[in-house]
Amino acid sequence: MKKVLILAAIGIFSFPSFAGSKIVKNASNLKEADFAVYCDGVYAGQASTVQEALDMCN
Amino acid sequence: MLKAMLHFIFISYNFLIMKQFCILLFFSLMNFTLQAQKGIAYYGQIKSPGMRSASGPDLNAYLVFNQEHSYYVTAKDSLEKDLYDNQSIFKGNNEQQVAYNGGKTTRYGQQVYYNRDKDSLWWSQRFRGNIYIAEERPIIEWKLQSETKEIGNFKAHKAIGNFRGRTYTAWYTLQIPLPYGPWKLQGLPGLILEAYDQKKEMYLYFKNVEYPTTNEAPISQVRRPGGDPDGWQTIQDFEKMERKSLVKAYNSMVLRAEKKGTEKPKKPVFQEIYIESFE
Repeated sequence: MKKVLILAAIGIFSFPSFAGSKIVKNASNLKEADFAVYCDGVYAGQASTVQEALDMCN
Repeated sequence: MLKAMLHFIFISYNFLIMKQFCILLFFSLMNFTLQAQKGIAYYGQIKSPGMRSASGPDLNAYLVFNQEHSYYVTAKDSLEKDLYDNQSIFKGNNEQQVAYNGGKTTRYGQQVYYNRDKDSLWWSQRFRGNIYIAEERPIIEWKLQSETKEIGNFKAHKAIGNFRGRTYTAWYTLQIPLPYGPWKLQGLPGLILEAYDQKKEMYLYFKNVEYPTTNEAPISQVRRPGGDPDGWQTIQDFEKMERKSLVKAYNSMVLRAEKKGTEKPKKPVFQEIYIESFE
């Protein structure tokens, strides 16, 4: 019973909706949708790739 | 006989003076103790404009205070074990994504100093370099609610108030009856332990409090590194900076869209871009 409960808890908390915020460091995880870019606290616009986001701040 | 009477009057008079002096001393000491009583509250701060959830960098923060003033700091190098990368991409629950370029923390961090006598706030934050703003204390018209909950060992009361374009829920405790709170939120009958806006894009959560404390963290005016200029800008200057950045960003987006031959982009919505939106 204890094992079942532990497994259930692991299952629930692994579910994406419980993941909440997360840092996505791997660019391949990103969808092609635009994302907001901030350079040193200042909004710089929307980018669709990580490279574009980097370029916007340079 | 007369001599004895005079002696009695003299002793009685001295006794009265002594009594008054002792009472005065007692109240002075009480007042001094209350004023000197210092506390420190530890929070977490997640700021994620436009993400519709608390999905930004989760930073440590603390608020140190006494009867007269308070000092809040976050995004400070010494408060973070693992410094964030120069570029971080955060993903929200609803496919929103945001990229932050530039370090999240600095030597002195983002600070807010509140002095009750002067009824003013002084604060600093990153906005293409450090900016320093002085302003009269913003009055938040809090509506006190009957709802309560436990936060740590404290009974917290709910309040709702608007501040610079967002509606905040704050949980405060009457067990520390001082009008301070994390970041720029203040003005409740007790210390704010937790606060967040409707979308939780500004999320300030409670970790711990020591009251009274012997912690030596100073309740100081906003500190700045040697290279930064002296002086303060106004809240109107800050609003102008934010508005100008939106126009600049939009113009760049239009240019990029023209180069790519894609659709003209939508104008950015102030409230979705910055936590303090002045609208």
